[in-house]
Amino acid sequence: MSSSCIKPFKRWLFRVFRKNETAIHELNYLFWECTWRCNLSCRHCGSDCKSESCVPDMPFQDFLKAVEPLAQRYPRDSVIIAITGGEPLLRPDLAECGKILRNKGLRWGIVTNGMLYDEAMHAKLTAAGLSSITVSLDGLEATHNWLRNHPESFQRALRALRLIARTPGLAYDVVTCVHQRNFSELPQLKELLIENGIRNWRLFTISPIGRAAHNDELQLSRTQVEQMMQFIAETRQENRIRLTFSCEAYTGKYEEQVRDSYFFCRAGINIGSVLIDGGISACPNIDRSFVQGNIYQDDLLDVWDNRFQLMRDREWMRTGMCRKCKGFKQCLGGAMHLRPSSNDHILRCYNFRVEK
Amino acid sequence: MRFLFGSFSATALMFTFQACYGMPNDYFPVRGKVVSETTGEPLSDVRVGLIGGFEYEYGMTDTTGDFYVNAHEGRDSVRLAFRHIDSETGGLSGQYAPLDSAFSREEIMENPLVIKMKENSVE
Repeated sequence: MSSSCIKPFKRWLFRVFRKNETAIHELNYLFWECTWRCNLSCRHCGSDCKSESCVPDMPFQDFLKAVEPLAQRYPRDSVIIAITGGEPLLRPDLAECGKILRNKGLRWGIVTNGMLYDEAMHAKLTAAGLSSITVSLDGLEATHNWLRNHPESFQRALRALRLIARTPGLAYDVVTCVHQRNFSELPQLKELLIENGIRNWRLFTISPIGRAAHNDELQLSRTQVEQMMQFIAETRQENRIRLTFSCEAYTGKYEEQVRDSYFFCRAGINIGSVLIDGGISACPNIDRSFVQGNIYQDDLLDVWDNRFQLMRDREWMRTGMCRKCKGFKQCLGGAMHLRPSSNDHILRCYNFRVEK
Repeated sequence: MRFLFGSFSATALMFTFQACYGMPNDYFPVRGKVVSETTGEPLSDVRVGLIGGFEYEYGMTDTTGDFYVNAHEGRDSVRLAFRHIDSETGGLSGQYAPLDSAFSREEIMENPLVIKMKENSVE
């Protein structure tokens, strides 16, 4: 079978698979927004978190009570809890929380800026069953420190990554938010990661939400985004580091080249979240108008089973530039976090079409 | 068709599934080959499932008998269920007897597994 036949067949098969996944909608990836406190004040933060948040951290017992039925419903080790914030390492009880989750049969991981991730923290968290971690590194030293608004943030993130990369059995990756200032640094950053033994790297663009909505310097031009796709595709061909484009957008003709799988926004299909105020949603960076319930009033699994229809049937997204787009059947209107509300058009689109 | 979707789910995409904003899912691949104990020939159409995992977490052997499924990083050992598919009915009771086996992480990481399945005895 020629490749011109295989690609449409694979895309069709993927759409059937996606429909099946949506119908089953197992909750197997749950975010916990455990704090809004953060020790950085990044220029691009999508959460608008604060160094001294007026919102208190969620008590772990409240979260545990909400997720215990989840641990009972699904097979042991089938669900992973992604602990995020704010900065989760600011919670003094993080290791204890993780240990209890692990003992309940829930895997867990964190998304961190790495500021507090030293050897002692690494030992404590891995002993508590940490199984996956993501650390942000947003360019070479000067650029990263500029974006993160902290003179030591680069060195501390690199310290964390060196510890993580040498730990067998710990899944990890480095995420880089690509913007105007670090765009030209990507080849050097790649070499730096490889030199430090890092094998998994993921690129994002910066969504025009949170603080980043007000900073044009953080947004790439469409030409730059396409050049970034080409950089990812070439790096994947080299096979020296496993680089992927995050699942933040459908990329049209680059779909087979920049990820291991097709774009699939699993928000509300496999991904849920418990937000800082107890809100039940999908990814935490989705607009809060999409919150489906609250653990302080509702049963998490009941909400998961009986709500989330907006995320499982996305025909309502066929509006604005998506209305007549031929790519819609493949992307289903793009990622949920790029919809400010169910009445709004998508904030941006990376559907690069094949030139005829 | 359900086998097809399930296999696609387990092998092609679950490995890479992660929230765009979150950390990577912690899977590791379990690779191996299924052969006939009698002839040593590779066996296709064997469903390889994770015992204790989701119903749809399984892979299928291809024409060379090769398979892979994804287990979670947190596990020290993995238990696999091998079921030969009946080519006529699509059921799980094919020509070869069902087999359940446990493997340590070390065994899995060292080399691809080689699984020998026995033919069902003829009454």
